[in-house]
Amino acid sequence: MNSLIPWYLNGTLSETERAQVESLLRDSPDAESELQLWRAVQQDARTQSISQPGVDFGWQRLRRDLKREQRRGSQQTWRLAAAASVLMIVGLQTAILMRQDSGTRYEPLSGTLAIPANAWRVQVRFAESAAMTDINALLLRLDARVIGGPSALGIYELALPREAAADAQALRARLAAEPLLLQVVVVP
Amino acid sequence: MTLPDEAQSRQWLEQIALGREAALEQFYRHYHGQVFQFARRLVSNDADAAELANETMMEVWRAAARFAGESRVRTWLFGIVNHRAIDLLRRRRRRHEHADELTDVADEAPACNLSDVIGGAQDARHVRDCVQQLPERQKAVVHLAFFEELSYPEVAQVLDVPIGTIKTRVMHAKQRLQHCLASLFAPLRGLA
Repeated sequence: MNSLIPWYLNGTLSETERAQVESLLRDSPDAESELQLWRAVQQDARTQSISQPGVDFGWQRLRRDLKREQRRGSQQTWRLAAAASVLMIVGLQTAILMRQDSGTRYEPLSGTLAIPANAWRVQVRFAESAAMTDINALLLRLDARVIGGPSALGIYELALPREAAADAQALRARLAAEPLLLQVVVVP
Repeated sequence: MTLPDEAQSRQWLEQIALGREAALEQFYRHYHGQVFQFARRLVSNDADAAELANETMMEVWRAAARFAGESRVRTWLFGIVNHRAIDLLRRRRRRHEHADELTDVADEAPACNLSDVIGGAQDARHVRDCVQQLPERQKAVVHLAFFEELSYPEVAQVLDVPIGTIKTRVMHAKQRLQHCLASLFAPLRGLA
């Protein structure tokens, strides 16, 4: 019954549970001490405020991510359609080849499809004094996304679109000029 | 800002399920603060909390149609935050092997009497310091009970654990608070 004391305080217990806790509080000095402890925690929770990133920055970022996902979704639809067509063609070709001389080896003229490296990966450390709103604004401005971190040393890994810079050196120079970023390493 | 009532929140979800971005924006603007604050209890820094809040709202966009209406919208929403946080911590654990972040740590019983440390609980700074030192999972229970004022079955639903686990976490949290307050308060009493 002691474990229900926090909910006795927040007023969400049923009548029966409430009566049971009140009975416990009358009979047990330890339970009364526990009530005082949780009451102090409750008062602290009511008075504290957590600094939050700006709602507008957050919303802009969410919209950007939604649009990305929608683009990916439509691309995937096309890819699925294309994959189905390719499978059908491969199936037909296999059927034709099986009817030909089995000693001959065939390979597609296009070779293996290369996977495009479509994002820069960068490891950064933010300035200690950087406010959350400033970091959010920076990430939005760079069109960057946090993909990892923080490490024990406070290092984050970001993904940036490939068009952010012509090469790794230019990207490093661009990011090093940002006052909020103390350390920049472009991951090869 | 007043919180939207349950009917309004459900209406937004219906609209979001139809792909209406304007409804998502209203939903986001009303719940963003609560989502961020709860996320901040589950992870150790602001950047991760902002990331979790963003991922949660993306999930709302994708999963609004699956809201069954069996719980309050807020309970459903916090459940998404919790699951996203577990995913994040699992990824971290794989990367850094911080296994302790996901487990319920059973505490050793403190060698002090609760009534002896209540004096320490009168100092708000002591209380805040000690709550901050609770493991994330115990902090989450404290947050949902006292900041969001959810009932204990709702807390169990959000954290996706049995009610018995919530009660155990409360007892462990109490022991940790007791131990922490004793360590802060006992030296002061010695000086008095």
